[in-house]
Amino acid sequence: MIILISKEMNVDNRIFKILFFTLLSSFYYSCRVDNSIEKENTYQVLSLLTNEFTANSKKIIFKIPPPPDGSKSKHKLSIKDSLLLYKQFYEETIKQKVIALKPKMFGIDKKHPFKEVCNINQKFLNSFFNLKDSKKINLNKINLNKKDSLIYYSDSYKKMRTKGFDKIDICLNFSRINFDRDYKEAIVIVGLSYGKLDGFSAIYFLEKKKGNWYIKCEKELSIS
Amino acid sequence: MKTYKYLYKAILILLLLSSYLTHSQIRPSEFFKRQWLDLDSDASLCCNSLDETLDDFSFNWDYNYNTAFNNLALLEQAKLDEIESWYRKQYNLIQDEIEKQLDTPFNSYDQAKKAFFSDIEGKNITRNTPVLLSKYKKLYNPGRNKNRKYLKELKHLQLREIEIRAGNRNNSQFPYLQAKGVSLKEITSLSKLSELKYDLENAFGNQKSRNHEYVYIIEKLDYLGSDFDKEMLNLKNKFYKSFDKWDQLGLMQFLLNYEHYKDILRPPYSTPDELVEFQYSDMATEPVIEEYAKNNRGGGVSLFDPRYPEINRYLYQNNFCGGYIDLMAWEADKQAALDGYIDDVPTHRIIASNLIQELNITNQNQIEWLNSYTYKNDLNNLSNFMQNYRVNGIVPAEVINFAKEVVKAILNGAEVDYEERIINGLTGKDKCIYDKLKKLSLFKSTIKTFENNDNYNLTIINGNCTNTSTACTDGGDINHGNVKIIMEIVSGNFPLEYAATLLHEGIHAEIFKYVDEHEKGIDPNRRENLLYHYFEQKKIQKPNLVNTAAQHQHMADKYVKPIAEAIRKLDNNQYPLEYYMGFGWDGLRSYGFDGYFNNGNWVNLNKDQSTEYYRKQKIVNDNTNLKGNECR
Repeated sequence: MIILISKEMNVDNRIFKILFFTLLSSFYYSCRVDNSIEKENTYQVLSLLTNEFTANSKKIIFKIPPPPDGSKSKHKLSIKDSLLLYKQFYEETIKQKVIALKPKMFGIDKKHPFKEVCNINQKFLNSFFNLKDSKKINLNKINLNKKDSLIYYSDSYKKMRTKGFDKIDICLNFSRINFDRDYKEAIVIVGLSYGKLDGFSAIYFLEKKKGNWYIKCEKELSIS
Repeated sequence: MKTYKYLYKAILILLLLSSYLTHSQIRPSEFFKRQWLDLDSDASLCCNSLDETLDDFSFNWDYNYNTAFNNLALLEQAKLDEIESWYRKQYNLIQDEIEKQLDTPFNSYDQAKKAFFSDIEGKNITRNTPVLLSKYKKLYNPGRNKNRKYLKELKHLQLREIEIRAGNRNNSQFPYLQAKGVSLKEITSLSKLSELKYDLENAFGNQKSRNHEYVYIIEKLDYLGSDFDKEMLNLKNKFYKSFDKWDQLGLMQFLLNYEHYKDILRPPYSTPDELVEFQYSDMATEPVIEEYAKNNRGGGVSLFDPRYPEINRYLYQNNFCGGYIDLMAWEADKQAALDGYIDDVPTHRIIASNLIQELNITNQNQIEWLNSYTYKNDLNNLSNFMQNYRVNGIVPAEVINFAKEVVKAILNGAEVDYEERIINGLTGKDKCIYDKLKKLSLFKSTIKTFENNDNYNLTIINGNCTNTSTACTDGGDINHGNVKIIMEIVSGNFPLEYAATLLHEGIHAEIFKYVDEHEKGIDPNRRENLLYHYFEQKKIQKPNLVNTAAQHQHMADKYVKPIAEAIRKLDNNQYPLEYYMGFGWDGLRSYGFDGYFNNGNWVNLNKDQSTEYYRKQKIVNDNTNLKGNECR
């Protein structure tokens, strides 16, 4: 259309072409930049949360022995208990885990009460609940701190009686992530399972400080 | 120059020719010669009779009365001159025109006239009756709706009267219903109730009387009958006969013009001053039809009409020959009829109306469900359930929330246990297994929850868990007293595992409830073991894992054996308890440290035994009766 107008106006063709392509490329480039910022932040958040639940030693579920018979809640762990905990920690740390991710970040199908927990801007929360479409995850863009294996959670696992937990150690399921305009805040729901009847889901509110994402607050939604 | 000469000549000839033609065109007709040029002298009529010089009626109708005017002028002249032959000729011409109009041959002028009149009035009836029908339907429909409203409100009062007479003055089950704009919860005495009832009954009676008349007027308007046609024909003939024979001819030609005019134009039809004597030629006009329908309708008067006892005095008079009218007997008849109408108002719709408002339901499917007669028992149960918790007219928020969940769930085919406050959305074999657990009180005895439970609601449904598990428990809405168990697995070939999963999730639900109660001030020592794990995990765990770890470790300590015992009972105690321990450990194996407590006694648990549990669990799974006929 612009070309047609230029013809009508009898503008110098060369000047017009330069102007046109400059505008077109700047428009295209600005879209790409915006898109790539979202992608970059998405994978930063996914990497943070994946490592949060899997790689670091602090995030292993410790098995605490039951209190001795008749004791009250003041019971302290014995030396034997502490040694067993350490052994468990060591085994968990050196073990290379297979982490399976659901291939798509799922869309949000219902509202969750979260505002009162984290004092989030309602408009921001609503825009999160409006993310209805799912989005594919590229595993290669997730940075793991440890040398665990990252695979997609196969549909065939879902049909298995064990839910595939004889082949994998952890399964993660991420929702779509909602960012604010400045990419300083984010909301996401995470589903996590260590076994077919051992897991939870929670909603997280994250903040970016000095280029790194942190979990600011969270609320558990379900448990298995 | 020669050329110009020819041109002048030609122009001259053309001028002469055009002057002749114009003159010949404005030559007056015979009638105007006589009328205006005074050519009626004998000399001027030397050679033709008068009827030959006078034009015939024209029947070339237009969208006005010009033709009728012209015809009347001719008629006036003929009448003055008493030209009988002309009269007879027009008489016949009118018959011809009627035959042409009605496309029917007639033997005589009278026969043609009768058919023409009949046709005119038939058209008038067809044209005017729909207007009246519409008028009376517009009166009847709102009247009927008003009476439905009055009856509904009288039904509200009937229900409230039952409550007040039973001693319920301040806790109405139907606080959102109204009568004459007054909420039922505000009606706390029979005197106030009677006052409203009296007004509504009167309003109903008055409207009923009017509606009764409207119904029968509409019925009459739908078919006025042949008597009306005859009456209209008689009136038309009477009108015709009110003129002398010359004006009758004038009327007939006017009517032919008028019908043409009516076919094209819409009412009201105007008649010019010159034709004013014919202006009331239409007989079946709107007022005439309306009056006839009113006076000749059937149905008498309504029982609620004050004229009823007088019109039907034989029903109420003192003796066979007459005497005073027993008005009390009439009042009693009215009341009996009114009571019948009120009884016919479906109570379930009234209950539904209250629930829709009290639960603030806006979903159309849910509203339809509530109004459906098919589910009236469910509706009653829900309303009664809410009433059990209502104090001083207020239902607690968690009960309202549960009721809302009930409406949603029942619409999707769920069952509700109001006593236990459990909504069960499972179907088929899954439901069968749940029912067996319930029948054996295993759900209740194992998790000891939702018994004497006044504040918490449990919903069990099929669905998908966010965290890729076989089942999960959503405690996100625990603040409103709602816990939801979502079963992602189906029972299939492992019904006992399904049952164990139900119990496992039931325990999570109970813990959610306990934690919420604890936050509201319940003694924490009731779950000493849970708190112990919670605090221990909190020391070493990231916040997002504390709850999961604490709950599962608590379950590993406390519930492995109870679950195993429940599953054994469900399997008719086919094998010793150790065969069922694997079901108890499902989902908790990774939390089994080195033992657990059994009624205060420490039971050692090592991994070898655990492996044995797997083997024995398989034997039970392969041989359970629940795979066969017990649960299909």
